[in-house]
Amino acid sequence: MNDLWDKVKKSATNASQKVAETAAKSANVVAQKATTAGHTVADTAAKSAKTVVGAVSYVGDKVSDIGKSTYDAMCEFAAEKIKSMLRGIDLQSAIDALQKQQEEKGTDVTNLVNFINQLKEFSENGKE
Amino acid sequence: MAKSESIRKVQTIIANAPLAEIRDTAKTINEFIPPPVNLVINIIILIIDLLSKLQPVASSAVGKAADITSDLEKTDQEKARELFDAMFEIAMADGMITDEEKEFLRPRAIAAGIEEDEFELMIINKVNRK
Repeated sequence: MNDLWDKVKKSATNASQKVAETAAKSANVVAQKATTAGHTVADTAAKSAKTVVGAVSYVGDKVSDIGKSTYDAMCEFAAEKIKSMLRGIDLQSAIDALQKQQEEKGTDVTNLVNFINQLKEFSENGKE
Repeated sequence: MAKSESIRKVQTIIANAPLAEIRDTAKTINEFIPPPVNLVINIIILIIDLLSKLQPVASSAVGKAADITSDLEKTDQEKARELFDAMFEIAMADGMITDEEKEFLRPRAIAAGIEEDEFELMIINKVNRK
């Protein structure tokens, strides 16, 4: 009876070990496959991300270029308009009057006078 | 003054000058300035207004990253219209338009999908309003 019990026990142990081994092997295979798949997914994602970043930065550069040249064109047009608006205008008399007002009323006109001095460069250079 | 220098000067003023504050000072102090100098200050206020109109364009040109999607969604004609509108505002800053400015704007109006009659009407309306 004891022998039979030993046999059953041994056989059960062997079976369990085989099941455990098979399970472990399967788990390894699954894990390996998952890792490989994970790497592939990660690689693809990284590649896609690089492509997207590249594309966005390319598009960004192009848009900035368009924006910059458009802005330059507007500023050039504005510069010409300012020159034409200042033609024949005596800016120095305005600066003198403002400084007089500053002395009398105490109003700070520094920024305004600086601005007019910058405009003077346009009108003076426009005369050349 | 070279073309590039003019552009740089305008862009420097737009980027650095406290335009709103300068305009307030000019408006306030001009009440006490006798003619004809007060008329000069009025012209300076018009120039400040003109440059102020370019300030949002400047920030959009510099900070383009945020605008990529919206810019891509715009058609070429919509972009041409935006450019024309801004330039039209600049041209009409003093309520007058020279023949040279008009001829400069005409092809830009066509590119923006504005018909010849509509372009002429826009100018008449704007000049009359001023």
